[in-house]
Amino acid sequence: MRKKPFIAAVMTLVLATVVGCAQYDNRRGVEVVWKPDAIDGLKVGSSTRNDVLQLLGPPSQVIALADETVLYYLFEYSSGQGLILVFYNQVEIDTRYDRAIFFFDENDLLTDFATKIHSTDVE
Amino acid sequence: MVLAELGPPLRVSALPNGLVLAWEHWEVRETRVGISLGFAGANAMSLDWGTTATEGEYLLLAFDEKRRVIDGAFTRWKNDAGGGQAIQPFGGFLSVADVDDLLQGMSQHRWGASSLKRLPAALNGHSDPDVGANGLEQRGTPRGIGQRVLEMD
Repeated sequence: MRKKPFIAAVMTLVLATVVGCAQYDNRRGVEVVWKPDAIDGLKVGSSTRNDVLQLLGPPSQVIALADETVLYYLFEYSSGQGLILVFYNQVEIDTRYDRAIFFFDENDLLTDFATKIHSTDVE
Repeated sequence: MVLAELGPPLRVSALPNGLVLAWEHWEVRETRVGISLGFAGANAMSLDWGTTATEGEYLLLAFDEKRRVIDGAFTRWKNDAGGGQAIQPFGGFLSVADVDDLLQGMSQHRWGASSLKRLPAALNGHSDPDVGANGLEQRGTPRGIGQRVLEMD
């Protein structure tokens, strides 16, 4: 019999202080196909823009520079959770970017490139 | 020949040695399930679950200064774009599924207003992939990295 007021008090306290909680994840960008094995055959000075496009597909961004073009492949993964209280909020978001960038000269020959894949994405 | 076959491209940009055209097709699926006291006139006690999925095709073709195709690529995808769940007893503060960035109109509709963007975006105009002179980007490209990183608040 005495438990009912106690439970009601606890429930009231929880409802009064916990305004909300949430969890989500989000994915944007192109498929991460620039794994080490896939790009092993690319060589600076001899590979062409077409080689990269055939290997990796369309990039997230094509960037036009003065005499160069850049293919930029991007993938974003973010996950987060939030706790919203009356006097204190906590939202934690973890975002990572897998990316690959390829530079080409005026003859569409590869001049430089770099890639990065989050460790959990490498099979 | 390409234009006759595929029709007008959805994205276009100049390149140092020609131009690049792109065609895209997107399907965005957003599913949300929620329980709330909205029917009783109260924005409270909401339980939300949501998920988003995308499906589409993208064709990119580059042309030289004589308008001949020099390279290109095509992709077709079907992806999970995210989702989440939430319990929000006193109102909807967080959205568990958000696809607003995937539903924006084509950049051509905003060409005339490129100087009226928010200041960080206007100042990044020389790198803006929407103006047709600096390159182009696919829909759904992350904004936290790449040519748009300076546009963030």
